[in-house]
Amino acid sequence: MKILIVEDERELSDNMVTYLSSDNYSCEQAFNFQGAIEKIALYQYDCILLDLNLPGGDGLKILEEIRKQDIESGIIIISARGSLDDKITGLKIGADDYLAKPFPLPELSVRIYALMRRQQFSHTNILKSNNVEIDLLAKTITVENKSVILTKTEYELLLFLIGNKNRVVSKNAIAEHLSGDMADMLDSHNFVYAHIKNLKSKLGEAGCANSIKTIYGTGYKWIE
Amino acid sequence: MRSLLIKNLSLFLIYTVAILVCSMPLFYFIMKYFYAEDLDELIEYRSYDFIKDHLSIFTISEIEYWNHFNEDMQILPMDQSCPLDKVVQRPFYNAAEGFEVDYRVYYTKIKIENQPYILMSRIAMIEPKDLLQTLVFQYGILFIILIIAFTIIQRVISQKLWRPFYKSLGKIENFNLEQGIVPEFEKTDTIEFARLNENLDKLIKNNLKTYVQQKEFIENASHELQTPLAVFQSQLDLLLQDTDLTESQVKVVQSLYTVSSRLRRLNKNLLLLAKIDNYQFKETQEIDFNQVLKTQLSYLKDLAEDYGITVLIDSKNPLHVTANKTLLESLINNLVVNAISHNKNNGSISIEVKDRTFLISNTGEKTPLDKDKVFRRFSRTSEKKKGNGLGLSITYQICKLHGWKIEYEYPDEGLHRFIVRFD
Repeated sequence: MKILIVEDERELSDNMVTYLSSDNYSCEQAFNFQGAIEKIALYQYDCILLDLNLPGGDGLKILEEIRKQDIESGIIIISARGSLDDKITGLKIGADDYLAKPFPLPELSVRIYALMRRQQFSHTNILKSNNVEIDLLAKTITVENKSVILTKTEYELLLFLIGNKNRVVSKNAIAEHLSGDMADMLDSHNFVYAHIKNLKSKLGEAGCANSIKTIYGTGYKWIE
Repeated sequence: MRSLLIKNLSLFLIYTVAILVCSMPLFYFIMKYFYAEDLDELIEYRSYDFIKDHLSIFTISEIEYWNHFNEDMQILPMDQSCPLDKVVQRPFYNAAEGFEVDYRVYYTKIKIENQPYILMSRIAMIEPKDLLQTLVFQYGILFIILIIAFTIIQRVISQKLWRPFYKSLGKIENFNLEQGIVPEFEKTDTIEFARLNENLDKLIKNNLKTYVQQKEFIENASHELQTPLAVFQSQLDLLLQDTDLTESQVKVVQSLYTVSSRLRRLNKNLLLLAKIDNYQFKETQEIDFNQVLKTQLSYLKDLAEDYGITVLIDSKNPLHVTANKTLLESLINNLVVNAISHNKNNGSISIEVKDRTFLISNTGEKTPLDKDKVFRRFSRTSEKKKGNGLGLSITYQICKLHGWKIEYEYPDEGLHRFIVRFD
């Protein structure tokens, strides 16, 4: 899976590369407008992460260029502009998702994961990890042909963990993903702990006991 | 408080009255003096006339007859006590008035048939009471004329002279810093008003500039913070993957992680506030309020119930509002999140839509919030550290932008209510 990261802040770009590479994505970087245009013209990417504020030009122009050339990459705008106009324009021109900077890397990872899934498994909509099967359309879970009933929050939690498989996701990142703006207001640790506990026990009963690993003090990891 | 013109007029009248009253004795004595002088001339002339025309043929036997018919011109026997050849003032009994009045009297020595006699010529003076009355009457008329004339003059002056002042006053009264429109002051040829206008213009422009700069500063600062925050966050995400962290290191990372999320959200809310302040949400549309409410609640309700909070919703009444959709969502979200996070264990939230109002009540602490502070930025109403102190402020700004009203109520013990009126 090839990803192009168009981001002028080198440190952030490098961190994204490091985080995403551990999930078998091969990442390439472009640090300015011209570099991005050249890379897009030369290579095929499954996904492009696009910053809008670039030296040398507006990221939205790159987006227009990509769509004009009928390039079928999934595109996620990552912008510090955070302006809703940009979000609307971006999605209108043809971006698949929009993530406002700053964001936790697990959130980025799960967005890429969701996008890739939509593009690649558009016919089946079945996602498999270990012995867990997820029907993305019906939002149902089966473990070894046994149906597992999850709450909406538990379902989202499971997808988030699988989307960041083999990497540690912090409780904060989970809380933020599940409760959005509420994350600050709530005691996120107990909130996350309660849902993880329920999810673990439901999966365990169905026969998938050790997929979610608790990393002491930091967070959780889905092991595949 | 009285208007400048009324003040001016009343002050002027007070001083006029004071001057008139003070000068009254002066006028009285002057009038009296000139009147007496006039009379003196007359009686002197009369005596002189008598001596010239009648004295040579006058006989002693005629004296009694003469005195009988000339009350004010008597021929008296010689009396040394009378002051001769000058006018004096003396009281005499006046038959017409029935009491003694002051007379101007002139005594002169005459000889009739070689016998010395005294000729007395006198004229009754106007009574001081009558003189005073006349004076007061005249003053009264003068005073009334002055009031009328002055009121009219003031009107005319106010319309002409003070017009630029009132125009400028009206302009600055309607000035609103947030709208950012500099009022155009009318040109005037009065030096003071021209100076006033010039300085007002300068003051307003400087204020506006500072205000705009400050607003831009907040937005720019928030923007500039986003990239370093993103780098900080991503480093932490990577650090977390390190399996060799010791227990104490993990604790540090965890705490940094919490700080990082708070920073990010604080920054996000500051940016949102700045954007609302900078009118960056111009697009409005007709929105079915209940529809938006339902969408927002679909996930917030689950969340609330995760915390054992019951959510009661009564939104059967239709409500359509013209609003920016993103901001309306943010408004509902902030109010619901606020109601959840400041709730108590096993508490409840009641949401109601009726009569173009949106009511949200929640159980919570048993002290009412300070109505003046509740919507202020960073004013924490409880000592518990929840949220970043911007949620309700954002809500307030959203209402203000749309011309809605938001109120806080404490209708019952431990019950807090926010009401949004969409009119």
